[in-house]
Amino acid sequence: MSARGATVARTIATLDIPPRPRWQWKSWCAVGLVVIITAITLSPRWGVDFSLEAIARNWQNGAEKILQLLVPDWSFFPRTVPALLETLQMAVIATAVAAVVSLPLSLATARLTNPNGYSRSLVRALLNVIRSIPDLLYAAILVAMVGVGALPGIIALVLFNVGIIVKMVSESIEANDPGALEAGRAAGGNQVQINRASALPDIMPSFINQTLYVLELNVRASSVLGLVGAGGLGLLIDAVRTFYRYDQLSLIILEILIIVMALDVLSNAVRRRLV
Amino acid sequence: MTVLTIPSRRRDWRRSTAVIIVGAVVIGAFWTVEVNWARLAELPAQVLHYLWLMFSDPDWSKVPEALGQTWKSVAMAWVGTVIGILLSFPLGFLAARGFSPAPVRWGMRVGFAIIRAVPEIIIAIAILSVTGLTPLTGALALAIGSVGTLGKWGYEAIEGVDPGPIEATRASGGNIAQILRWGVWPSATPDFISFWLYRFEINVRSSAVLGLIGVGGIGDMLTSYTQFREWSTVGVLIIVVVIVTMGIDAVSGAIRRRIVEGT
Repeated sequence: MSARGATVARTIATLDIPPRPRWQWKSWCAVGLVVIITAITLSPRWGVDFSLEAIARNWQNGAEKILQLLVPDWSFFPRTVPALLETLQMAVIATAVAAVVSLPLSLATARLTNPNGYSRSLVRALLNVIRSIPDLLYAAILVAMVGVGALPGIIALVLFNVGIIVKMVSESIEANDPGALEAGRAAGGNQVQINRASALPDIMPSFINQTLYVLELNVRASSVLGLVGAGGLGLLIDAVRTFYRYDQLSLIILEILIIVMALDVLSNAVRRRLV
Repeated sequence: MTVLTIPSRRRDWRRSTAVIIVGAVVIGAFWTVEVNWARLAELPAQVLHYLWLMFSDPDWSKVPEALGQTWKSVAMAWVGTVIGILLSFPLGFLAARGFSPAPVRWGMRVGFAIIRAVPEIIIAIAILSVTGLTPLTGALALAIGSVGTLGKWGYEAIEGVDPGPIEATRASGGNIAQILRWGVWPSATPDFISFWLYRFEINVRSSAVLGLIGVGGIGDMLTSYTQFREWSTVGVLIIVVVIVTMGIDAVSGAIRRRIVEGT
């Protein structure tokens, strides 16, 4: 061994090399569990039948259809305009109503703004239940209750939005500095006055932020609510899908894309102003 | 006694204009939408009536079938999430600054944004001409949908990683794979696992919805029984959906909290 090699070896020996990070048995268990669940969900008997054979069989015919997506049928545009407008109207109305309803509810779900434990847990539990049902299922049931049209769609979106806004905003209340609220209490305000004077201005940015986010979600969601008869573009989607008019579907997708992206740009601009 | 000067209210013309514009849009939407608002007055009575039909005498004999269908939905969500993770993980790196050239990066980001703008159910409709009306279609639609969000969160997490370990790995002669393994992976793991779980929660909800177009699962069952107006069964199905979704959320939320807190 050369002299240099010996020096290097000595330096390494004196260096306090930290032990190589080892995977804990917990990590292995987690990986094992994931693999087992995946295997079960992929087995034809117990889960999703992942047969590539059917895909191969349908490939010829199906690929042609999917290629149609690349050639939108522009002549279909005039027919989509009213549906598109209805989608936007539903999204805007639902967002506005949900925002108005959510503000007091968010104050009622946060510990700082609602010290009463019973009413807080009650509202929380209710919202947890509301949140666990997807918007389209609400729409499907509401269509049966109040008939087809934009109304069941709007109600479904409101329910779906309130769950999201209240959760996010009440979390941001909890994260706020309680100092201002204590000052309000020390000055002799009751809970409503305290919330109005100090909590409300604090949560405004996060509230507006969530409302904008929900508006984006609503445009996406309201475009498919019509699949169950709740108005908007979804009614058209349902029609074109039964006739496999993928060139028309493509135009609808394009319209949703453009609106969602435009809204994204707009709300980003508003958000930058807020902070 | 000194006179207290109360700070004056801030008046901002930009804010007023914003309020006016938003107000005009909302009023305009209410004004123009074709809704029979009179029906809204009947709504509370209707809701109570239907809640009574659904929950006064639930048809518990349908529980086993409902659980079976829910399992199918959850399996769809799981497979979709796993495929989504496998696809989005490398793509996320291709979209992260410092790991790929700008044109590739922006291409990836636009791709993610497009996927995020399209609802999963439309993705499912688009691919079902090839894959057919099977749970596989649902799983693939969820996988594609997941790539949109997981890809975005992925590159954001990678770019948010502390550059120290990355530089250290590079300085000691690590190649790109070693940089990923030793510079990025250890500090990004909690983020990644956390949003994979979160996306699984989202996919569980979406998978119930995908049944509406007939790919199977609890959504399929719910639509048919709603159409038959068999409300006592619909009530049971809703109870099952709520309990299963909340249970999965609770478990996944607990795991996420533990991972983020670092145990």
